[in-house]
Amino acid sequence: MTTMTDPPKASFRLSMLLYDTRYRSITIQVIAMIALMLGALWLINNVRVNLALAGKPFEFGFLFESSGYEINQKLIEYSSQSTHLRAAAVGLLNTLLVATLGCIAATFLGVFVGVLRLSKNWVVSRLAAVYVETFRNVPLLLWISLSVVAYSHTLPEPREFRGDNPAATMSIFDSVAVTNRGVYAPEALFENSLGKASVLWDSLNIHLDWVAILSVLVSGLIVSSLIARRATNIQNATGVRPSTWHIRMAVVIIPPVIVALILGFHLGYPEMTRFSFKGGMLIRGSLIALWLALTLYTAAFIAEIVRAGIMAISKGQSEAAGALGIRPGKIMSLIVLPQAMRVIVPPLISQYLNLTKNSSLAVIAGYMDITSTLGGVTMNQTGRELESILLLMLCYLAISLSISSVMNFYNERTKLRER
Amino acid sequence: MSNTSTQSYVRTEMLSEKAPPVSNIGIIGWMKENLFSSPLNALLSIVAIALIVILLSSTMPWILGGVWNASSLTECRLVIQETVALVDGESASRACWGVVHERFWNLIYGFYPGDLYWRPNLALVLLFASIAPILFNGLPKKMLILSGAFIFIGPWLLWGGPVWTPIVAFLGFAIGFVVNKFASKIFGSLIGIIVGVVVAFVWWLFLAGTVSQGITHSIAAMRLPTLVETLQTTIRNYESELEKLAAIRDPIAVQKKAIQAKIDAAIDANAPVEAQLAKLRKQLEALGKKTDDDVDQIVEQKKIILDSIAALMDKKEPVAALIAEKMPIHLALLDASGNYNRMDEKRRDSEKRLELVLALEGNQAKVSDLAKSVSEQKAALPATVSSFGSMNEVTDEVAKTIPSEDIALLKKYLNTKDKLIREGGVIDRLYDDIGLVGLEPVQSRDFGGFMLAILLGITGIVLSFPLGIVLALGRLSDLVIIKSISVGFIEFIRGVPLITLLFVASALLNFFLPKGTEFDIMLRVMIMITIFAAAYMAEVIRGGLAALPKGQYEAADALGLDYWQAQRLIIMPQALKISIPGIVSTFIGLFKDTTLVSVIAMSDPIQWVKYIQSKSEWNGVIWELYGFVAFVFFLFCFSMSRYSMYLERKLQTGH
Amino acid sequence: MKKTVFLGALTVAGLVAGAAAASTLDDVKARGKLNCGVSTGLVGFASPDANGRWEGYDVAVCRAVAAAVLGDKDAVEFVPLSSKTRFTALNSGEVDMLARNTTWTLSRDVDLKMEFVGVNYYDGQGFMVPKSLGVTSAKDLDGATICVQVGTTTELNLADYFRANNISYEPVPVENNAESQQQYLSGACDTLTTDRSALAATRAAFEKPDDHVVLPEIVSKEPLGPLVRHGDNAWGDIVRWTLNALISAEEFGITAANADELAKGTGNPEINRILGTEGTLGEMLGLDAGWAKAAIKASGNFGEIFEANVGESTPIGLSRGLNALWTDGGLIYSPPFR
Repeated sequence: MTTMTDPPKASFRLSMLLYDTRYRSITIQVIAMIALMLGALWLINNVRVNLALAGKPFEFGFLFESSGYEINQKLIEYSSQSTHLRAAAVGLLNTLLVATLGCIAATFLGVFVGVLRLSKNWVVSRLAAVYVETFRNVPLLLWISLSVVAYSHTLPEPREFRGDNPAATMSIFDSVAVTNRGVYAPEALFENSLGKASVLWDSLNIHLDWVAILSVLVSGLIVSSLIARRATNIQNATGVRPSTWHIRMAVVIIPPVIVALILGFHLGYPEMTRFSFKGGMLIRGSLIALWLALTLYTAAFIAEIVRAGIMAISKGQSEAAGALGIRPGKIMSLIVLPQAMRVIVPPLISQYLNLTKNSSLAVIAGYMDITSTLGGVTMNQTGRELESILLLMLCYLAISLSISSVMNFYNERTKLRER
Repeated sequence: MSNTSTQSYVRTEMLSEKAPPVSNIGIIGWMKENLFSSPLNALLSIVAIALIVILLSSTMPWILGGVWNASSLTECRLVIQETVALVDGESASRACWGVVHERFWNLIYGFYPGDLYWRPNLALVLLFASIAPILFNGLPKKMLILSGAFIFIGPWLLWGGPVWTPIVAFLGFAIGFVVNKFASKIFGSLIGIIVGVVVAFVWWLFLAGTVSQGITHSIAAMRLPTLVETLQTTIRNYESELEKLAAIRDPIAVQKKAIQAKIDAAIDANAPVEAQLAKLRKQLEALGKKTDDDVDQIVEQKKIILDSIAALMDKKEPVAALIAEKMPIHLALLDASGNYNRMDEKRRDSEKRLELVLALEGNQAKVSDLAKSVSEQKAALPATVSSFGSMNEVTDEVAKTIPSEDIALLKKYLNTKDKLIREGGVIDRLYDDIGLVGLEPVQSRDFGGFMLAILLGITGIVLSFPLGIVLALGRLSDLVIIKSISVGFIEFIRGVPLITLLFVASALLNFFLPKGTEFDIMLRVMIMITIFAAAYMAEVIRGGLAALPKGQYEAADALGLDYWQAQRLIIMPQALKISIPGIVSTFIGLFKDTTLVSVIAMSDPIQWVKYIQSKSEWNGVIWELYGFVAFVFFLFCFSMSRYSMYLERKLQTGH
Repeated sequence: MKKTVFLGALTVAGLVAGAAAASTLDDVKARGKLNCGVSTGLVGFASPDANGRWEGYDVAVCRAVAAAVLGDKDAVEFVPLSSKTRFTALNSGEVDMLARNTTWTLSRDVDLKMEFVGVNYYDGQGFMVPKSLGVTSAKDLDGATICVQVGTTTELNLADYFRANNISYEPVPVENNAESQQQYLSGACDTLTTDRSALAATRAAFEKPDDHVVLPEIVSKEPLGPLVRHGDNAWGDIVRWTLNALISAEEFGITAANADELAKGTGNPEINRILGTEGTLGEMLGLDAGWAKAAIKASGNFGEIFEANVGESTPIGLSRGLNALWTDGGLIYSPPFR
């Protein structure tokens, strides 16, 4: 080995860029880079020329014009006088709302069905299998359409609640009306309301009542955790843990209740008016139908993921648990599921991602998400296709990337550390 | 041992096996084991069975009792009213499958011409034949040639056109391959591949069309001398055909009219009875709402009303039978008039062609004159305006700086050029038509229904396959820039919904291409779907690559194979095999996602549902159409997912 | 230009280097087909039958233009377009004209760079309610839930009308007509708002049409008409005058049946000018002398088209109303052929 000399330090020749593996990779990359940039330049130039020909400058000024259309489902203040930008924000929040609700519900349903599919009970496991296969093998678009039709045709109309002898009645102590327009539930009202505060240059109105209650609740929780820590310290010192749960409960519950009473908290019940219910809180049919379809569809996939995850845990684990005398229900929750989680979570999160992207079909249910506001009505009324679609894609990309970064974080944390 | 036998009892034969307790065998045992093994299980079973019973009992009568023979929703309602009007005093609802009966072929093939259905069918069969050697090892490798050929034959079958189109398209590969061989000898393999690909693309983009059209036009020129005669005979043939078709169609139309008259008469005759019935039904409804009165009395009254309803129903003229009788006639008439219309169109096309052929000489002279004056005018254009390609580019601001005479000259030149394009185009089209040797061309716009969904799904998967491999390799590459481009592409595409990509296809793609590039919507959507599928495919293949043991890479290196050889001979064959189930499930996903093209108004099954609903006969039909489409999608996807499971089991190497 | 679609979209060849003509008329003639954008299915206005043949009121306009330009009413490629894709398709040249009940508004005309060539249907936005609701005027609709199609002018008019009358409503956005019908029938909304022609068509399809009424208020003007791209006036003129020819034909009693007969010459000079036996009107437009005759023969004159597709003898049963000729008290009026 010692006889080996250094490779001859030949002077650099141009042909080495191709034939010398040290340089070749750089050459290829530089060529790829240049090709990519040229391609991008070509596309951008085409867009520039075409937009100029169509007489449409590339600008986002239209976002600040008044939109002129109403949106029924909104989480922030909005009217037809608001700007297109605000309509897009309403849409984005609606997307996030239905995606969050969908993810939560689909997880519960999916885990439930996935466990049922592995049940020894023949009927139940078959039923779960039929559910999974039916929902996985039919396009979501059809499920949304069917869900909308099913929702509006099976539930009673508001007018059926009217009259002395109505065909439909309100449930839960006459407070909740389940109709085919949505679910009308009581809302929280405050007699001595603190009013609203506008933040972020009037773009957001915040109910101060809720802020007050929430801040009291949060401080209660902090105090409660301090008490718990003190109890732990005492336990560490003396070996006896003082019983603190009643104090902690009181600290958490009583102050918000007192604040609520001071503010004059009461429930506003939905009341039948000429056309429909008024007052109370309305969870719209479009949201419910879309939520239902997204949940049922995604849950079918999640069920399969859960089943695969559980089956990936070797039988020895549950047998060992059984040998230790742990009851079957506990085996699932204490031994199998925690281990299966490592297998389940990555595909589960990619299902969350899918659900969020699939929520872009909301317009079929008449739910105004960002695709139907920014990519629908706004694009249609202003004729700004390029700008609207670009913004729309950016929004979805931002959501997707944040979800995948959460997934990467989880993967990193739960990686099996082999010792 | 025999002496010990007297001392103690020893069994000489085994006891016969006893039957297990009754509760452990047979149906009861099975049920005990599988349904009622614990109280919780028992509860679950009962709930599940109740659920099944409720679901089936509420949907099955509707589905199975549906009306198949009716040519409009109104007729369906009439039939249902007559046959299953009242069940337990409630008006029953039944499916109206008549819509599926009438529009079945629309939902499957869209606007594709009825006499050419064999083409997509054959294409599908050939597709299965050509993927067989890839999926099943037992088949001879020579069959792979068929798979290769299908790439060219399949599209030709679907879109039609001259028989040399697929051949010319294939030549691109051949030329690329040959050039690659030569170039790699001279410049090395990498440059060889690049040059080969570039040459192939140059062929496809710039030469293939010219060559194909050249062949067509020379055949047209050869046919020209006898063409007038041929066309005249064709037209005569078409005319006699048309007479025959009309002879088939007209009696059916008469028949239909007669039966329609009978139906109308029966409905008219039933009108007074219907009015009485409506009154009785209303009374019945009112009774149903009453709760405070004597229950027995209500039941009594109800019974009386139901009896009189039944009596009235008997009085009605039977309409359902007439409607059922009408359905086959209705369908036959549709078929016959469709045939007639298609033949009529062919005749008119031939007549137009004949007219053009007769005028051809004059037109050609006109075109050469026009061409001459175009080139003259172009040469005469002043320098101020010679750079403009259309009047659109001459904006008001630009116009201020140019003398108005120059603009007038430009206008004149452009107008002459337009005329040349128009006259040349007419002649071109004529040559294309008369030089056609092959299949009748079908426009992309006529593709529809499930055929479109399958086509988009399959092209998406097939085209995304090579792109996906490249992206997957790029993502795993050590080259930083290549890797980041691949990652960026994959994450971007996977991060946005397909629907936004389809918006891009329908609204934006034209902005990204030079003015005047005409892509039909089908091609644009195919591009976007391919890009979309490629990102997912790349992830599937990356999974396959990651699942390969590192030893395989090292072994390939140890053998002294270079990167591409190692990929081609060692890595890819194994990685792709592992990825097949993933690819199939990507395909299922993509196939389902093709329904989104209805959002941009392509005629997929969902869009056809809307078309059908927009006919006044079927306005208001919802469940039946969606249900049918969902059912067909289920059949396709379910069988594919079963197949994928089978593959998974088969491919398991069992370690 | 292209004939073979496979690769054809990518290949350009032939005598004239395959460039598209700047003038739409030349482009259409070279192609031999008119690309006409229609609605994705609207009862009576545009829908394909079981043989895949498009029929309807808007479709008839396309056929008339094709007949005028190419002499063949079937030389039309119908391109179904959603309300979202219609303008981009027209702007990008995917279609030559749009006959897709589109409301003529200033911003569409000016900002979206469209050219409306006339009005073939004077519509107005109305409301339909179930009779049992006991509503007699749109002003009674305070607090009502209203089904409205997204992305249409209807949506904007609705917001304007309720704001002007200072009453509130809850919109239920729906994607298309079939869906709004289904939502309305199930009671998911109290009232359905759209153009009154579509309301009539929808109501006609109900199991019990008499249980529903269309309220008397017309809350907006909805002049629906064919449109073309901005900037090609010659082409705009052709579509405009084809429509006018259909209207004039009704006025002068030219029908699909008697057009040939009248084309032999009549005592009325205007009829002669329309049918091309006198004057050079066709030449001025860059068409044959018999262009208008071909257009009229395609599916009849304005009145015939109306009666055949949406008129009182059809299930939709619209009366002429505003869409009667000016001589009958309507608004349909054609400038003279001179």
